Amino acid sequence: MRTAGIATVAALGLAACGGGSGGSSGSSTSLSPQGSTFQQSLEQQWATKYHAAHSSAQITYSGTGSTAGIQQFTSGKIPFAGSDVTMTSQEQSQANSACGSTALTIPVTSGGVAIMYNLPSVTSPLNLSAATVAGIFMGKITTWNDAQIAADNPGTTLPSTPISVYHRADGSGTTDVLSGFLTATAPSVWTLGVNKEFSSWPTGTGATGSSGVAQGVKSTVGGITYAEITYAQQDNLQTAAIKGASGGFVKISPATVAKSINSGFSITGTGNDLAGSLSFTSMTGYPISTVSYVLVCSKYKNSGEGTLVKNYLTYAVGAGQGEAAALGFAPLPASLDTKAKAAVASIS
Amino acid sequence: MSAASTGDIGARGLRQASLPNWAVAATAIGATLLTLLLFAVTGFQGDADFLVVATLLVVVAVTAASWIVEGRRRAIDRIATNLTLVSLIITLLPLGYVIGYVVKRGHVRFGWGFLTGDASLGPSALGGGIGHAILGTLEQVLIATAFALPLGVLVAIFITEYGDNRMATAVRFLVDVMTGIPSIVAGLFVLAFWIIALNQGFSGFAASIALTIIELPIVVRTSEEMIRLVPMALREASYALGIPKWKTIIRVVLPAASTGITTGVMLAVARVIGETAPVLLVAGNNFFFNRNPFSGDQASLPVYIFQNAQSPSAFNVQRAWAAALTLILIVVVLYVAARLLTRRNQLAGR
Amino acid sequence: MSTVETTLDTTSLRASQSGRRGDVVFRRLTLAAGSLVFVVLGAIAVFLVVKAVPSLRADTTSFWATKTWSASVGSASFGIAALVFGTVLTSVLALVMAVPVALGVAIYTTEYAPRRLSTLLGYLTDMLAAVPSIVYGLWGLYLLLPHLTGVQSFLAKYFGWIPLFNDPGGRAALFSKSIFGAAVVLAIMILPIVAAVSREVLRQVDPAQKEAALALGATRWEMVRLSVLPPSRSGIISATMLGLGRALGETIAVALVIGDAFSISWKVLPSGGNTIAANIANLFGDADSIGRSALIASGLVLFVLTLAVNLGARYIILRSGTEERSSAV
Repeated sequence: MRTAGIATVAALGLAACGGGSGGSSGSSTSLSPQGSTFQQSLEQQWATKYHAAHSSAQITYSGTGSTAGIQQFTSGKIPFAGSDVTMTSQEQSQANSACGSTALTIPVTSGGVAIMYNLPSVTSPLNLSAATVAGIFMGKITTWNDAQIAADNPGTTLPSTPISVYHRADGSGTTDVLSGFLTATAPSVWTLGVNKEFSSWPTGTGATGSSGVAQGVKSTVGGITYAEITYAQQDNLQTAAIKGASGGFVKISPATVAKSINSGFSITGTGNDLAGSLSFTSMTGYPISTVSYVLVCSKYKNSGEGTLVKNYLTYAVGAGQGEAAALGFAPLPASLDTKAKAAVASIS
Repeated sequence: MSAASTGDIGARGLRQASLPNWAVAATAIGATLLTLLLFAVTGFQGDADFLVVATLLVVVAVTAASWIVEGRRRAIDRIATNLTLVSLIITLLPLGYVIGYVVKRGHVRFGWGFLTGDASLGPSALGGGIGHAILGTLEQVLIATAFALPLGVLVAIFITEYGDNRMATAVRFLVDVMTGIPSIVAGLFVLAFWIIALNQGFSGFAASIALTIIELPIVVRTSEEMIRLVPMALREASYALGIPKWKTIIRVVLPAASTGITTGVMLAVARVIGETAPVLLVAGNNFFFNRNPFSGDQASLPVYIFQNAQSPSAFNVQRAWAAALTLILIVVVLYVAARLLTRRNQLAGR
Repeated sequence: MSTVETTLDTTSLRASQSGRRGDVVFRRLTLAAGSLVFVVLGAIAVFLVVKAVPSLRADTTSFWATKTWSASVGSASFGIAALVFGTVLTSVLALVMAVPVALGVAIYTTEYAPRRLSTLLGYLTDMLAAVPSIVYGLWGLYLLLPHLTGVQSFLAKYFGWIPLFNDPGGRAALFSKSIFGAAVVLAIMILPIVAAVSREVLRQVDPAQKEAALALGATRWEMVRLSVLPPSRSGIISATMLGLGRALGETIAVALVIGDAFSISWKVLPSGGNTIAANIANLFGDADSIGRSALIASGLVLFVLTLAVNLGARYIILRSGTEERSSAV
């Protein structure tokens, strides 16, 4: 017991002296960014590839959620954050003071939210219009052979299986995108508004994480949910072709997502700040698409850290875009990518 | 027969009618056959259902037979024996299920390279390991236990041996409340105080603080209970020999309670070693080895499992289960070590 | 066996100047430990209250009666009604399932099993505690829930007349992330805690009492009922409280397995239900300052719950008399 006591005191002493850098956790060789879970798998792939090419660089991205990422970034605890949403003006000024310079919002990838379902008796992919999707997730459409679904899919025999909706229990950018899409394209049916999380889903079961909702659908015949495309691929679930405000029924793919970003994303920031907004009604490709950003400082207090961030992100918006498609993302459209490269080049 | 129904040592002399073992077996077999018949006739299905009904019928039949032959008290004794046995089986079933499932999914990626590597190869690669996470968890939990064990036992002693004052009552209440603290709240506290207010960075040590907060009440509660159970007679004998109170506590009371305290500590360690939420909040994550728990993000097994089990990459999922298997093995090793240590330190066995 | 043969060298241990000083030092040491714990745990309590207040002020609806949860800067309308209901129901169900079984195992291990088997059984029971909560959550989601559909259908069909198992929509047969499922997972998680602590408590019973009962002609069960259980009662209640504490505060396993419905319903078989801890885990990552504050407020309610239950337990122990210490001599 005595030795344990000495160990305790020693540990406390050490902690007092050497504990933490008291600020950003980055250095010139290691970074620990956090943020959006949507871009997590891509960030981790980038970090791996970058490390393989530069063995001294250790970058670990943790998907803790866009909000957590923004909070850590605006209090200067992490070198950069991944986020599906742009900062509010209050967060922007907090970030500016934490950075000691202007904080920039730079898109690094884009992706779509797939509507996946489990209906083994229907072999061809289903078409779903925005109003139908809204009706399903609002609990107004309760069986698979409902008239609205049949109208979207003339000629397909639909079973009378009840629809089991799975939605996210945890806050998520994916929910944010879906609700944004439904609010823009079917506001008379989808009345919950836009949010990362709803406690008042009129129907369905909640599950934690995209893997949770995918698991739910996989285990329930008649299940339907929304998540990143890779989860449908992993669990062998079919995805629906969605019809938004413009265009016809579009299947999700890197090309269709990129087309939507080209048509539906517009930059609202100035100079190297590439924050933007999505207009779901203008998207001509896959209509439930979104952009994902990183939040960085334009000039870092620790220049070594700044160099590492810049080099890493240069890779990410450059050669790293080639990794996107395999992981279910869409590379940034060329014009946006050029702007992103320029913004990254301005980091120091 | 009145004597048999009351079961008294009475009119029938010291020997009572008792159900011979072959009769018990025969009754059991008969009940099982009856279940088979029942299932065949009524069309019930399912192996699990069969087992449940069969067990039920066996217990009922044996009890009934015993009641008739041996009398009420012996019958109740048999029910008790059977029910405790059934509880045992009910306990071991999920154990088999869980451990079996973890082994089934975890052995695929398990191996020495897996145990010593780190995650720098990335999610799409076949290789990669959890050495960095094992190191992180071990460091974090050992530091937490180094705090919680002595502190917890001292507080338990304070509550029980010096407990006749309001401070002790207040501490006891606070500890009671804290046994129910959701682990994430402990993480929130450390995040707000240590990382934001005191402006420390993320570190393994921050996780240790959160883990101590969770571990401490469990250690205190179980130690308090075990110390309370040490008979007064032991203490009084010690005092009668002229031994001062503090030495009595250390040399007599604690050793007597030691197996119980060890169990409590082990339960507490097993609890915190698997905590995800607080560790993720304040220690962050790291794909690489970070041997220093006092500075920089550090990986840990539960965070590794949580993040990788939900990953779209199939390899990540396999590695997550292998990591889960590793975590259970680590706890088992710690258990065995703790039990062996206690056995050696005990002054006398049972 | 609670007698300890001490081989102390009493001459060196006799009370002396150093002995008395040692007493004072030791007493101060334990007081310091108690104070430290008091300060730390008190600080946590204060911190939580301070952090919870902003959201409670901003809440536009009744905190106690509202079921839904919407808490962010500018729009705060949240209440813990559904969360408290779910927390209490899952924990009570888990206790009802786990405590009798745990006691049964503890009794079997200490009183019925032969010595070597008893040690082995102790190890095996402890193994259940060795499984981390994240693994229970994943196992629950991937293995248990799909297999529970059979049990749930059975309960709905034959016991549906009990409001608890009523299932009008026939949903129990489907894969359901139900309160029942969460309670089963919780029960398995708290089983080893209750069993292990009860086992240690039962082991401490004075053998003389047991032998006296047997000598008077008691059957084994009667011996257990008369000599073993009564002095162990407070210890078993403490074991149960520890298990309950775990059940109330279990975060990640419940979050993965429960259906996340903000409603109050006694039907435990269809998907639904939510607990305070699971809600915190789910919503914390994407919560802004008011959102976090609201979650912390719910954490405070959980504390009050835990305190109330523990107080009740301590009261019961007090009322049952001073049989806590096994009366030797």
